[in-house]
Amino acid sequence: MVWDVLCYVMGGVCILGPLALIFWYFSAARARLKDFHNKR
Amino acid sequence: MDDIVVSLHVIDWLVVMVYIIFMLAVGFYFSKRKEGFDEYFMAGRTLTAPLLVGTLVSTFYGLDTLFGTSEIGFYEGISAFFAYSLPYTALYVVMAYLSPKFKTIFPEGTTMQEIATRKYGKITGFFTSIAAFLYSTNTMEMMGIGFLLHLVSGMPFWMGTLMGAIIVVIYTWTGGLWAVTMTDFIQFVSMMITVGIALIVGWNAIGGFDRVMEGLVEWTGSREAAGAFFSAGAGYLTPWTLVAYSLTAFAVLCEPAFFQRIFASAGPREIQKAFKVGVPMWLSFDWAVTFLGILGAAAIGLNILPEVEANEALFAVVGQYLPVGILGIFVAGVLAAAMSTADSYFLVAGGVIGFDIYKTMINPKASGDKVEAMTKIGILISAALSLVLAFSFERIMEVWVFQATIIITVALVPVYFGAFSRKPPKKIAGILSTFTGLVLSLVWYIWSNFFGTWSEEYGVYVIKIGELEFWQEYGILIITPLVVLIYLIANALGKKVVEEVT
Repeated sequence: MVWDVLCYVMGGVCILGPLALIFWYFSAARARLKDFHNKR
Repeated sequence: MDDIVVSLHVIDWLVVMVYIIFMLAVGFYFSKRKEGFDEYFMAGRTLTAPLLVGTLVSTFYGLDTLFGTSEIGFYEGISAFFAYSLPYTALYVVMAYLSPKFKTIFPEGTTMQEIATRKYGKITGFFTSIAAFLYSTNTMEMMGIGFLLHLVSGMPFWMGTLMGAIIVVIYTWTGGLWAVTMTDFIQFVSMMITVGIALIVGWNAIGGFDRVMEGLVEWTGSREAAGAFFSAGAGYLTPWTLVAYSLTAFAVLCEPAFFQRIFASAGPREIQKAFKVGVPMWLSFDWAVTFLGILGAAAIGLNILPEVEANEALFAVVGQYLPVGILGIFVAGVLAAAMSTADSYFLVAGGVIGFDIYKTMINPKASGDKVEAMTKIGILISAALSLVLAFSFERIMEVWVFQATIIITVALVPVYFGAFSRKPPKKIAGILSTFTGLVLSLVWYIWSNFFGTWSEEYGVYVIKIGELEFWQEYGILIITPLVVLIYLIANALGKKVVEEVT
């Protein structure tokens, strides 16, 4: 039972971790791309 | 075109093609920004935490993790996670605390090798650069891409390897660290999510732990042997080999691509946040690939899957359980894992030629454009060497232990003593320790390949010295303490220190 739970938890971290980072990432990437366009 | 382990639907192939075209487009997009070496190699030293998380995680985790860890899981069970992966996690945590210190001590630093040069002089810098270059060859990733394309298309290994090398070189060449960082994040997301989906869907579809155990009992022939899959430390690997595998984790502390990201970060806090957030990502990915390997063994026992090779088990499992479209994203994600690692190391290897050797040792007054051009030449040299080695080595794990041995025995001791000791380190300590580490590592591996005996049972080279038998992997256990000893003695007895030039 404990292995089942751990597998679902770790699988969940694999899926939700990057999704949670996407918002954080895009706010930073948007700022970088804006800066990049301004310099071109 | 035979031996296809996973058959892709046309939609899956479309997903893979779109992914490859997108990666190339990103490279060309960032190639328009031509502002010299610092922008090309260091992304203007402006990388913030979220971008750094993606590039750190996806760079260090490539096909060696995917195929290698799942292969150990297939044979050894959870030992793959507890004996092999956890030591790495411990050192990622250590790196979370050390990385901001490096950024603070060397705010204008560019590479790890530069630290060796500044603290001990050009000879030590040269040996460290050679080690970093050898470490950064993409042998494992090139092997992995060739192997992957063979599994899904039946394409000859050499053709897949060559195609992978060409694609990665193009977007690394054109876009530099900006392209690498941007694509790394997309690659990070796709490889993490698809591996997570495969684990949850596969584990649920097979029926959870009880059914996995049933499958393992059928596959191994006894309940005791099946139980060993869930006992850390059980399996066919010797305790010393497990120690050697654990010791390779110290490569985390002297990983050239990590140092490039540390110095390219916007500040110490950004790089520390990135490592801290990266730890659970690394941990969950390791867990997922370990259990996909175990799932493969169980599925064979339950006759859900045909008998496959250990390193094909993960693919056979996902091919069985992932639906059309998601399977395409998984294959793209796996290609992503290989490419995100390969692009970073091509760039690091290029930097060794362009910055550490050409600018630092040959032409200190070289312009940024000239250094960038030499870096690109270095990328091509690294790609050629990677292909040659990919066609020479047999096993992915063999390559990894060799590369980890090289970088740990050469760079770890002088870089850390040099960066953190209160007194200036002695020049001779750097020279002798890096020379000893480099020469002994190369001699050990060349000697064991030519004069060792290949063990069919364990799939390793065995060296006999008198009555003693050494696996090739033990090299790291023998050479590392020797290098530490030489460094300490030379540093205690040496007189001359290097006038640091900043």
